[in-house]
Amino acid sequence: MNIVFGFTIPEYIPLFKNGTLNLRWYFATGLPYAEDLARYRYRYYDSAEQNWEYEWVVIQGPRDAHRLPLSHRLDFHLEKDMRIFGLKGSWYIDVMNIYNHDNIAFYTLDYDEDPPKKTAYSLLPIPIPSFGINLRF
Amino acid sequence: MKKTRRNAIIIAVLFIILVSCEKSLFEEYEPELNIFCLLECPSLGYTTVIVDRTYRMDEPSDGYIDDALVILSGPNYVDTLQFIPEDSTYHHVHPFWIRPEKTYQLTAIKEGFDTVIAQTKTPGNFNIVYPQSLDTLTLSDTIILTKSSGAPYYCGNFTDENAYKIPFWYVPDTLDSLVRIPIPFYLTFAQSGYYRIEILACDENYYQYSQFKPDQDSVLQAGVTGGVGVFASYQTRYVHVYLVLE
Repeated sequence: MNIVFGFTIPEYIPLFKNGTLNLRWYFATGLPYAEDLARYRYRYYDSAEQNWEYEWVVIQGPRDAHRLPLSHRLDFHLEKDMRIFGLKGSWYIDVMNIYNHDNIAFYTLDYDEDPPKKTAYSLLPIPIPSFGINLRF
Repeated sequence: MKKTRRNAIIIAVLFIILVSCEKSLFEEYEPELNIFCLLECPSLGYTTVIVDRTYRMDEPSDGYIDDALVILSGPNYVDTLQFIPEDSTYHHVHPFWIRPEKTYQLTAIKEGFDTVIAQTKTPGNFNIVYPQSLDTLTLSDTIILTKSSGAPYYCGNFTDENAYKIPFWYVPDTLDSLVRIPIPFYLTFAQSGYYRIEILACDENYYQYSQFKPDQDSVLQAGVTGGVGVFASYQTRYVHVYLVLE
């Protein structure tokens, strides 16, 4: 589930005269996934080594039975009107995930470690700024 | 006022949906016993059983379990196996004959784990019709066996004079009265010479175990209930031949 709240600061506030400030807050429940629950030794005869060996087999949980944590972020967009070479335009600053919340996108497990090391990865590791100019002609 | 109430209801509904979406459907995983036992028949109780366990992802692994109660039972016989620390397996205390076409049961009990009950029916007798001892074989030849009842799967090894084993496996047609195993094509890369052919007629559980793919499959339960692992049985026959691989 995804909820988005948007808020635009009205133009009559002096600082935002001839411009806008948009704040957009995204809030989403975590995506479902199948988690690796457990592991066990699987014994087999290795014909290359001519010996009984084992390897770890992973027991996977039911499909979509687990969920990633809640994710949320606040995006900031400031835009001010301006004129360049007689053309109408505006400049803007965007910052995604302004309070740098760690929104987990997926996990990986390193099976070379014992116990396997679980690492969480997020798609936006830092607040992502962007700058730009719009020109109208 | 009416608008405020409507907004409050919308937010409440969204909150309920949100909470229900967040609920995890799965209970925490409880580790199980993992057993490994391949029963050879006919044999006088040279049976070893490995009792291991599964580990949660956050648990460090440990050695095999040494304090389980492991009971092997068959027709008119029950034996409690003993743990031998030297090879970390359970062995017979009072050996008894493992006979063909009989059902054997293995029970493993360990405090804190579900009891594992495993069952196998040993395959019936079979003979090697061709080749006979010290025959000369080529790549175009076929190994012919009489059928072992209750054996859906045959496997084995070609062992050369340096004791190097080259494995093979075969699933016969269920309608044939004889089992015809072609000489594996990959023996082309081996040397001509004397080989010992070891042929195993395997029960259904062994077949499941052989078909298990550790990188794709998740839970191996070949004849096992209440845990994971394999409890299977097989019969073995040997023949010595001279292989011409040119």
